[in-house]
Amino acid sequence: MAGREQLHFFNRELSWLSFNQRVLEQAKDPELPMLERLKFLAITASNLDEFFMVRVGGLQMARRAGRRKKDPAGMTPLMQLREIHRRAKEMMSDLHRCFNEVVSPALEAGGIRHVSMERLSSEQDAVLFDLFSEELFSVLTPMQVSTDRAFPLLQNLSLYLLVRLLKKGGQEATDCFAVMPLQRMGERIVQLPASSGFEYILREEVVCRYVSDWFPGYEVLECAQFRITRNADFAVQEEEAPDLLSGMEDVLEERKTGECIRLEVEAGISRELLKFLCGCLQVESESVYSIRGPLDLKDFMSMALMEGFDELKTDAWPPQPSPAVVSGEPMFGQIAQKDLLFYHPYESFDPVVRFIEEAAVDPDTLALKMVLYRTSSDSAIVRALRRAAEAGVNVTVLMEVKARFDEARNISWARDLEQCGVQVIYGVKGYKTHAKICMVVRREPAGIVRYCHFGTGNYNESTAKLYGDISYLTCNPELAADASSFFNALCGYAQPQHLNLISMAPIRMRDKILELIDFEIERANKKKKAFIKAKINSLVDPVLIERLRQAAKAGVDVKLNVRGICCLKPVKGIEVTSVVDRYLEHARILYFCHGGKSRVFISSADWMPRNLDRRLELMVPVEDEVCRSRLISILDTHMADNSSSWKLKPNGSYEKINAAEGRKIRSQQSLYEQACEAAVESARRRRTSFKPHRPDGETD
Amino acid sequence: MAAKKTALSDTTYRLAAVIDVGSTSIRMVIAQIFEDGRFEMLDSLSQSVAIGSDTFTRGRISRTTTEECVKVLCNFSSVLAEYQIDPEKAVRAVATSAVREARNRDEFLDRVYMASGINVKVIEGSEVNRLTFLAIQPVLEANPMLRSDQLVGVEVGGGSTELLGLEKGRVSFAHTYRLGAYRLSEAMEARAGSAGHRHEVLDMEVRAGVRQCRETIEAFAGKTDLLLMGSEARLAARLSDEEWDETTVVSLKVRALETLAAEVLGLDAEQVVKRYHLTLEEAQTLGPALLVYVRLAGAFGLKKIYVCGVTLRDGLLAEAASGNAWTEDFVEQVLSSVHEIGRKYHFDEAHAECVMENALALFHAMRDEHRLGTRYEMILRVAGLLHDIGTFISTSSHHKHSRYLMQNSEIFGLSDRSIQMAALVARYHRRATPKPSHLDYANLTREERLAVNKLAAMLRVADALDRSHTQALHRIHVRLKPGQVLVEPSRTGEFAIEKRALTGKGKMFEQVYGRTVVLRTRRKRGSQ
Repeated sequence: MAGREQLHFFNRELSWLSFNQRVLEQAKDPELPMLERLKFLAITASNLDEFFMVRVGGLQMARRAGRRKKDPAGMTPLMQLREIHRRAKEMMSDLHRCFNEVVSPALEAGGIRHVSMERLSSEQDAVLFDLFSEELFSVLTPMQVSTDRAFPLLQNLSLYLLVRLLKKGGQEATDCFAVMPLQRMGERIVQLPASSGFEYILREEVVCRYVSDWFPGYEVLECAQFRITRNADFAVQEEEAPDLLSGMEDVLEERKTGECIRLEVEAGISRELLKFLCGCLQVESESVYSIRGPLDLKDFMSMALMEGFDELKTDAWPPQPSPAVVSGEPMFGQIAQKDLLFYHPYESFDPVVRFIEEAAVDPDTLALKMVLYRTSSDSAIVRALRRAAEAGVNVTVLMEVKARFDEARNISWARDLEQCGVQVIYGVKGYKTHAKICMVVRREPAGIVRYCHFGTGNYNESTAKLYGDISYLTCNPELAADASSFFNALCGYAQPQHLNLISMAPIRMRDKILELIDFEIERANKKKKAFIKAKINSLVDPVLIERLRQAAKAGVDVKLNVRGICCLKPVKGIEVTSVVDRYLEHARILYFCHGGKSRVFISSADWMPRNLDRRLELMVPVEDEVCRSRLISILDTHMADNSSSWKLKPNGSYEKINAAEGRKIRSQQSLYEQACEAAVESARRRRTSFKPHRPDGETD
Repeated sequence: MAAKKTALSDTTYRLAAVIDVGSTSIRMVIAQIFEDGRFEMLDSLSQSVAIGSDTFTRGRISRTTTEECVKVLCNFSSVLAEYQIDPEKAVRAVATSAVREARNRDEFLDRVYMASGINVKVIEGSEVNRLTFLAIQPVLEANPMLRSDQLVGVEVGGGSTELLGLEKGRVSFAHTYRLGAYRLSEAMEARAGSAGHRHEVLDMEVRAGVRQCRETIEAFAGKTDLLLMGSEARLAARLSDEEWDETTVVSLKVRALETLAAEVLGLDAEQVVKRYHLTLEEAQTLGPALLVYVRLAGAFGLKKIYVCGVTLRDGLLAEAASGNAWTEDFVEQVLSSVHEIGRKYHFDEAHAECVMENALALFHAMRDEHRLGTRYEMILRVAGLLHDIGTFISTSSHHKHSRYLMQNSEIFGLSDRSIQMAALVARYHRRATPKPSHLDYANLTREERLAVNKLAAMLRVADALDRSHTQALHRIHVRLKPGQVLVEPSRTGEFAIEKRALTGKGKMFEQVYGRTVVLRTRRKRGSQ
């Protein structure tokens, strides 16, 4: 059994590592400007941190509990852990090598210089001394540590300095040790005065330089930076790895502080110091990652985004106004005329924000309901909701407080909104609400009209500038009735009803997808045209994978564009590609031939058991002719990419697709250019005309 | 802003909600009703509760269940608030058998009203049938195949089964039986023994119930079709046709239904919940309800049946949309059902109609004096048509026989109270006038007693006007003169028998209205 399964599935952790490797490859792309490449290094590092906390943590627990159950790829937790560490180590050294040997020197040539201690100008030296004496010295407090006393609780993902000391003039020759936190305050990248360009030094270097000043009476024998990654807390594990952790809640409760699952140390650390550290933190040698150069490259994101140095950055791609929207005219009227579809961030997210803002101040709005999963810090949407509630509109917001790593922020929003009279629902018990939906109930002269926004991304104006996501605005009564039922179920007003057009997870979405695949299989069996094209972020669900394989076997043409994890092993008839480029591919678009009738859906859900079984998700059909063609064209553009796209091979590796000859297609660029052209074209069509104000208040 | 608000007062529609407190769930539909009577559903909510399980096992609704219902209705109330629907004005909430039969129903209704502001009214089986009739009208219009010789609409509820008979679209009967899915399920659960034995018990109960249904329906020569309603039937239809969206009528093979029933009965409730995505309450009633449908189909010798997605809520909405329940068509449907009862008791149809029409002529002429509305007009019509059916038992004291025959008939569209009043009016069409010692009469409210008096007085006169049973005084004109009611026949004649009858039977009229009834005959031309 296991043997057969092994043929069909890839392990999801290793597949994720492959995805992160593709991100890292972006950083190596010589055609990209250096700050853009630095950004990808920071993303790779940040992704890895999360991966260790969430996935490796879960596996480690499973292993400790003695679990030997194999995953669909036939790997036990132990086998997975070993392979993960092996591949992660390669990736980390690759990552840091790229920074040390390529990006950092290139940045230096471009004017962003790291200054070594030996080459400081006297002015710079003075600045450093000020920093040390005025800020660092009083804030950073060393903690003495030893093997025979409890080790202080170290913060997850923070940098520390371990110092080995010898008491001066003491009789005893035994060493003692101290730990210094490096990340309590201020920026890690310290800008230095420079005659040209940007010169910097890292704060830990400053601390190292003056380290002996913290320990009067001691001789500093050596010091080394390190950083630990902890198993992330209980709730996160429950959400992220229940397949591994089912039945282990008790164990988890006891380990809330989270054991150390990765120890990063600077490469120069002595064997003795490392042994001491491993003993104190109870880290096994396989979890030790020795790093050359600066640790934690995630912090270099701020450098990648700093002002200036435009020659080291990619051209800005400001989001374009959608040609379908007339600025200055109310959104309701425009949606009533025709369905609207946007592809962000090529097209601006503003119309969506405007839709909510207009609803908030419209006296005819009866109710406004939406699901907020992750939202941005200074969100116009949250402001609009507040205003609506204050104006007496019935506002209901489902705030998903379980959104990973955003819990604290979401809770504070929720309180704030509640005080303004918004009815806030803190998620649905047992499920994460991941659906992207907003509904405005409006009283119009001819009847109640419900306007809906369905999306694939969160209502977050910041990520809407970085993630590729679809927005669909419609007042189709059937979709609206479904949306209304969905909210009634969400609020606990009613049991989930049979929906007309929309499919909802965890109730019926998987069945619906299976039905759609089965239909293609039937058509293929009759030698009729049959295909499935899907763009998703992850494909893990074993049931769907199995059915896709059957479809391919029956002759259905299966084309999948899976950005991240893909556990499906490609076979004849299934093509899997992955686009990794400037924007994070995030839209989920499904397209079934359906006997030539083209069924197209957008969805909030990835094809993973957690999305289909433990989250509230929506899969929304797009039946409007224009919007549907647009989605098909977007899908085809991504699938035709031969410049930033990778092809999954049967051995699990990914190969960059290269335009052999002919036209080079970089899908994100094509889509952006299309958006620009469409915007220009529509501006030309709407000729400028002046509307003079008349004394009677009318305009011409 | 202000301009926009005034624009809204010009809206050509209103919002309304209907709520149905059933034995397994409470459901609400919110709709917009347009000026032309069309309505469009906006929201449909359902929440399962176990009222039936309480009522049909312990006879009363428990505190826990009551509070559950309160919670559901409070939630519904929030949705009403979102649409700015006033629960006092634009919400019709009804409860059926599970609440109706609970001993503590008044307590229950008070508690619910106090907590949620929703005033739930208990309705009877006949009312359910009337609403069902309203609900299926659009279905009948859209599906000519249902206008068969005889169509029986069936809904198996938690506590009762409602049958509505239609002959070529006209109501021929409406019956309510105490055959409910919950009752059956409880009866089955109460039995000890193996699953197989319990199923036998269930099947016996169902067969007995169905036999009773079948017996009360007159043998019918033509083709009979069954139209199934109710959530269990809808589920069966959806299982056989995934795409079915409940707006159309689907046909199902009885055999398929039987297979499904057997499958469901073979599982325990938890398995049913899982397999069919139901709540526990729904799962308990699914098997027994399906079995009733199967056996009913068998009793009519059918191989296939129809299912439609119509519910009580549709009827309630149709009623809310029409504004007036007593539409012309509806009155005709009620009369059609009354005629059916008359025929069952071999009534003299021509006499009955003549009496009814003359009574109506009086009713209309006296409107300013009796001040009775449409409901009483209907009661008078029914009493007029059925006043003599007691002769089926015996001619002596036939007015008394008429009363109990009527009282025990189900008259489509009339509540039990209305039927009781019609029966009393018929009873007083001859002999003794109402007396406080007549128990049924004494139990009426003062207003109702007065109404019975007013109606019976008119019925007596109308009956006297066809004393000869020849319909000689057909289509009379009624005019009011001081102290008199002048009855003018539409044709000439002596009408001696009627005149004599009037002297006796007009006395009650004089007592009630203070007017004498004068039959003014026109002599033949030239015979001054």
